Amino acid sequence: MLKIKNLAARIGGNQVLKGIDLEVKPGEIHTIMGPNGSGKSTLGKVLAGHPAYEVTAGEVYFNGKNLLELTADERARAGIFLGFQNPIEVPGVSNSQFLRLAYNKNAEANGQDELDPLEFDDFIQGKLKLVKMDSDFMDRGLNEGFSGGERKRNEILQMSVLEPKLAILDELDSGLDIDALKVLGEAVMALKRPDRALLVITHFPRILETIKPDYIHVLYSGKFVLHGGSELALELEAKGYDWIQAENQSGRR
Amino acid sequence: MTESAKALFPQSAMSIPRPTDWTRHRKLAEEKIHVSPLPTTDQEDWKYLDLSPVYSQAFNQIWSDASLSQAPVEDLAAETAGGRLLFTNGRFDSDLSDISALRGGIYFSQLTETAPHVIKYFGNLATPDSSDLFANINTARFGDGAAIYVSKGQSPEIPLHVVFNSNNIGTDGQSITFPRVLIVLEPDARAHLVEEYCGSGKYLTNSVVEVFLGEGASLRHDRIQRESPAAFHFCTLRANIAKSASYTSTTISLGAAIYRHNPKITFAGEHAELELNGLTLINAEQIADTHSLIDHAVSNCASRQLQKYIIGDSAHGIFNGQVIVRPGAQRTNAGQSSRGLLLTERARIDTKPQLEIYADDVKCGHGATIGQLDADELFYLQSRGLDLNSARNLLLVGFAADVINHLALPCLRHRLLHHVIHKDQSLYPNS
Repeated sequence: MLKIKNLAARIGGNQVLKGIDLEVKPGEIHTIMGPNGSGKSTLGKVLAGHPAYEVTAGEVYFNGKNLLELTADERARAGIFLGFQNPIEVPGVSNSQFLRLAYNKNAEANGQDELDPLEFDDFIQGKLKLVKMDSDFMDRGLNEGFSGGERKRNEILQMSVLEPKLAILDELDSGLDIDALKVLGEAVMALKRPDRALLVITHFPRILETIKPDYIHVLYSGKFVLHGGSELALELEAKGYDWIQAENQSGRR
Repeated sequence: MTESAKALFPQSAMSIPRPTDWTRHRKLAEEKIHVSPLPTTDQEDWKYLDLSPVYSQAFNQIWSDASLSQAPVEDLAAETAGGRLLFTNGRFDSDLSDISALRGGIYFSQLTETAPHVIKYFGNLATPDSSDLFANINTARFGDGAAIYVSKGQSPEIPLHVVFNSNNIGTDGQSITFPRVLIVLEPDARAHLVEEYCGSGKYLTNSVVEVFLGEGASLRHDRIQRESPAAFHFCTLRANIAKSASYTSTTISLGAAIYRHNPKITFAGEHAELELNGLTLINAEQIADTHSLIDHAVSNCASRQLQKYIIGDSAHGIFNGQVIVRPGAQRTNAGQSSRGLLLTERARIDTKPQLEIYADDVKCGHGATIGQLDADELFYLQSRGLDLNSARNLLLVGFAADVINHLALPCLRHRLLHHVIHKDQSLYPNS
């Protein structure tokens, strides 16, 4: 599904990614962990097509398409979803207006029927239940005045509406209390399907108790320095990231 | 040497019948014009607005039957059918007007035909002894306009709609019109006025609106300026708000090559409220200038002002927002916010908040922001599958919505949101 080869990227003069290799198959859950500043969020943004990042080397193929040739919206319509660490507030644009427009743009691209406001209202009710979100939120401005937790719920709501093939969730756990984390973790698991892959970017291992990864990749200074299965999360929980930093700085790996 | 206003705006060659009780005001205003120089950018109030494209024209006030009852203004709001007065080139157009839905207690007519108890208010705010040159030119030259008078406690069931259409038929050069609106609400009366300007070709509109709100009265005033792109538009608005009255004024400005809006609103009694909102949406080489003054002359009043600009191409927006809190006007609550969105590198905005506070127990604040569409917001929307154009449009609609949502007519709100997206199309896309 997703094949990343030797990917390098920079923003401004700062080379953030320095050669990433990763392959993700349908149905798999991959987790990317690492200390702050290691390049985790950058990887998510580069895959989603943020125009501020410049790819300086490597290639990315998604279901046979050269992802790097597509704009952010083309990637989204091809099935890539990025759940933002800090979802943007867009006052004046109602959540329902935005979600329906996004749904219809994707439906149109995939040859499905568009939904009118009434149909969409029916469609969204089950999704709201999944993330335990009040339907009042649909009439409010997009993330306008939403708390951190409400914004994250809204991200997973958008994921459930857009039904992506690959969902990249960037720091879903930041700004969430334990209960909300559980609700959203379970919602994400409920959206797991054999043909859908997840790329979970996180600093803390806690979310992996609910979203159990098949693979964990540890990113340090723009490169993967460690790969493992879900057991690696326990090790990182116990030891933190300092030892990875120490080993890499002393050049033993 | 500055040219005089008299030479630029000569008396109409045609004979315009006017009631004799206007004569005193007209004469005073005429004298003022004779001694008033035309504004130049040397003057602080006109610093950013160069009127030389106006000064290089020759203007003609037409007053003939020939231009009346031509093709009607297309697709006017259905909600105001039966409550509409339409003026063509400043002249009452009876074929295109219809006030059959109005009941007693409400006077809605031509100024030339209104009752004496209504006309006595005329010229009391836009007084000819002021130095408001454009208001004085209107007072000296206007031929007719709309008068609205709502008796004590009354409230028309439908919005009152006044349309000023200019079509510049049968003139060489530029035609000029002098629309005039007088609105008087008696105590506890309520009304909703929609004032609309439109037209085709090259012309100049110089309008004066006087608003008198009695104690406890409430007025919603929506002003839609969608003049032809070649037109010039000047508007003087003067409002007086009595005790416990409430005035909500929303101005949408889309048209005209050069536009100058000059509202001046005075609190005359305590516990009154004002909401002054504006959305200016311009492109090409349009210039739109709003110079507002909110005068807190008495205590315990509240004013909120929100001015938004969306500026494309090489257009130029100007906002000067003066708020005066007079000595003794304690417990004044005044908030002003201006926000500009520049869509291109060449687009320009000059904005100047001007708060003058002479009382100590007040709550006053202002904020001004100027920016471009936010790259991160665009990326967020695009990452959900919206193409760049749709994402931009959604952000524009979001930016404009809080002003547009103040408009009371749903069809107008709907059309304007559409217009924000399709600026190259007319406000009435089906016509």
